[in-house]
Amino acid sequence: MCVGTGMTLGSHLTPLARSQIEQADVVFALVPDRIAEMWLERMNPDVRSLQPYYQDGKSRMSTYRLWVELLLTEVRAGKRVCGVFYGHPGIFAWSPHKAIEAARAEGFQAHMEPGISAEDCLYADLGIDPGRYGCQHFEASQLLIYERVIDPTGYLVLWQVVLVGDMSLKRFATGPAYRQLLVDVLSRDYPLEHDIILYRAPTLPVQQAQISHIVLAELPQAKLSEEMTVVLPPMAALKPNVAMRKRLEDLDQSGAFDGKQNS
Amino acid sequence: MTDAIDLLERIGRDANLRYAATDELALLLSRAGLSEACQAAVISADMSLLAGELGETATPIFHHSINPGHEEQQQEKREDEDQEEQHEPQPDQPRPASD
Repeated sequence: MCVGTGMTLGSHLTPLARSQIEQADVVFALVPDRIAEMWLERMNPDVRSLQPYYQDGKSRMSTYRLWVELLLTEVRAGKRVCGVFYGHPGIFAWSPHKAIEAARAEGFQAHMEPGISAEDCLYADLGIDPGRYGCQHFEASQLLIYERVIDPTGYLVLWQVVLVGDMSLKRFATGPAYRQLLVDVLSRDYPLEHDIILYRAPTLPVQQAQISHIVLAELPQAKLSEEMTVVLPPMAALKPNVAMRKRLEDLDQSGAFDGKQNS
Repeated sequence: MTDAIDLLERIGRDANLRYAATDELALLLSRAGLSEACQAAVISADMSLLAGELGETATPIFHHSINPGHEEQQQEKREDEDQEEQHEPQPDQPRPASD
């Protein structure tokens, strides 16, 4: 079982996720800070932090694989295991998906319970409805390493910008020169003076969301933390698809819609 | 005595407390019997200070990157290179019907 705590201590944990934590034989936890770990320890006496497996100079991918193996080892031993991840356990998180996939492949029952993600908080705190203009999400490095197509008529949300371009897989931050490459890519679709938003969801209930505005050109020198997300609002109006609108009108006029769904 | 963790959870799930003014929270913490240092740590959301007040001797830096993004592909690429082949990630393809 993998569950999410949500982002904010005490505010987001679902009743079902809490029950899963309380009823587990062993809990593996990856949460924002030691305070959140201590909070989980109130719910279960056997909470094991996954944080110590991160090490400078060690491939993060190796760490993610190790986490999966830690969970599976206890599952194979017949334990009821709960992996607890902050936010949503399946959003921008590799290990929970892999752990569930691996457990199922070995014949065990495995399930993921959703949690309130940083993305959910972002929509609420920034007043963004992704249905209005559309919204693309990328792990920031993907924009450098792959040829991705950005649609500047919708929102663009970039995750893990602080370590953008880390090909070593071993660092937890890169720096201004790497972020300048990201700006170079983004400047193909956005002007350098485009207003962008730096966002961090609150993890303690005495905090509020951190929201600041800068222009794109300032991103390389901006003060960013690991958990900060960069949002680029749309810079161009949606372009009507005239040809398809005409085809839709023709369909309507032809009587193709008879009022019965799925017919 | 209610401690800081219990109070944080209570603040997190109480509609009146979650967005309460600082002086209201300070009153709550004071009435709960928290030390002045612990009150200050909670109000300022200072993780290191708070952990210290809760008896933690070490407050490690917590990393937040749990998404490999390109890393899985990088790893696969390296494995492929070992086999003198290279594969970029492909979108999931529909599986052929088994019957």
